[in-house]
Amino acid sequence: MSDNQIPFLFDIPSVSQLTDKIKNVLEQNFIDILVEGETSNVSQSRNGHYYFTLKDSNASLPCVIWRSTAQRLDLNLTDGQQIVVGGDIQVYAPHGRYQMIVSLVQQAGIGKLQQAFEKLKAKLKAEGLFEDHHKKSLPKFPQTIGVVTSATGAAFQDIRSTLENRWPLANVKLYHASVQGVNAAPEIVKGIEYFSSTKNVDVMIIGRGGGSLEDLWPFNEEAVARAVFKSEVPVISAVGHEVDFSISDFVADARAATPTQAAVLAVPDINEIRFLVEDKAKKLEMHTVGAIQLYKDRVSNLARSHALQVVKQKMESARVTIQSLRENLAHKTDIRLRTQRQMLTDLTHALDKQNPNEPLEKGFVRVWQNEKWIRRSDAFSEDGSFELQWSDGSKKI
Amino acid sequence: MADQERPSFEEALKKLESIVEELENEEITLEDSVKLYEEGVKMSRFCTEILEQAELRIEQVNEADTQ
Repeated sequence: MSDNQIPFLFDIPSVSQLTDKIKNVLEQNFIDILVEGETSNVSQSRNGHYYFTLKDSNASLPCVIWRSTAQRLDLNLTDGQQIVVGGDIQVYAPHGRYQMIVSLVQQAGIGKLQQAFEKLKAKLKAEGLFEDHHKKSLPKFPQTIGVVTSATGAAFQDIRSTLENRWPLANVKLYHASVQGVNAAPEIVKGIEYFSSTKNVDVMIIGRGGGSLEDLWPFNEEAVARAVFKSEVPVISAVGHEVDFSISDFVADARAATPTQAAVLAVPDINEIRFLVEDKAKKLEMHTVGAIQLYKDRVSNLARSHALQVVKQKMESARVTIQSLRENLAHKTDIRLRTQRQMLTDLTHALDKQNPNEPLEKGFVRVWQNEKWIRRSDAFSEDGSFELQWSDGSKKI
Repeated sequence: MADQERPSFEEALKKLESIVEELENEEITLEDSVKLYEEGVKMSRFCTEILEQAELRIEQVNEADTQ
């Protein structure tokens, strides 16, 4: 039918034939090409193939990375990465669609990176990610410090030796991540998310040593910035040298000029803390000694107080009274004793005067008969014997 | 003191600081100040012990696929 209507100028192809022609044109002209752009809609199929769209502001290019290629490149992709991909354009006829079969992935060139840096910085700033009120304060005495960097890099050695000198009390947990190349950003993100979700550290340091803009680029990736922003653990960002600023520096809770500086920011100086403890111990001593002295003073002041003095005086006067009473008592006893003694002498004297033998002393004689003093003549018996007593003796008659 | 009851360095230092602060208050009784002093000496020894015995510990938490 078509043969009749259409002149012999050209054959009208079927969709398959047309597609086949397009396929030939595209696939023969776009072999082993490079293209630069930003990744988006990155996904991995069940079979392990990567699908994503490489785009810039005006166009987008569907890309596929077969599983074997991804494994060979040890690839780890995320959205928003600035990359250069190499490969072939392939047309998949059943879907009428062309896509890039990627065999090589590299970080984008410096011009592209600088543009992307400014663009991302402006975007995140507009979203408020850099604002101070989002920034968490760093712990004063961190016990455990997470570090996301390369296990073999100079940055980790710097951090380690600084921590050893400044704060050997710390435990360091290292999450190894590549810090340059296309794989770095996704690995750094995993490290940040690991510490943020397990919360097994008090603070984390992410970073790397100096290098070119390309080398430092992973820390300018949006995914890293967002992970830092979302982290529930405070993040110190230390990328490159003093002059290098990265997007992660702006988002982080603290920015350190170098990895060494990050370690300094993260922990106190053990020497300062030694002095602090010494100082407190001295104050402890001083205040306690002071308190004891204070109480001593208070006690001795009270001892000198009027009330106690009055008591003391009362006691003294009582003592005096007792003493004088005691003396009085002794005196009176003495007097009494003496009086009695005198009386005794007088009585003895008086008694002496009443001595019945006194007449004998004067030469009188006493007559005894039958053991009786014969005082009267009628008491004398003439026929009995008797006795005469003188002062110096007696005679029986 | 059992191991799990040991305060962290930060707790011990804070305790020491607050004890000194309390001692600075002249209203405190002599008995209390002696008690505080004993506790403070304990804390300051504990802090010093931690500071002098500390040794940085390092552990890698993920596998090193550095190739």
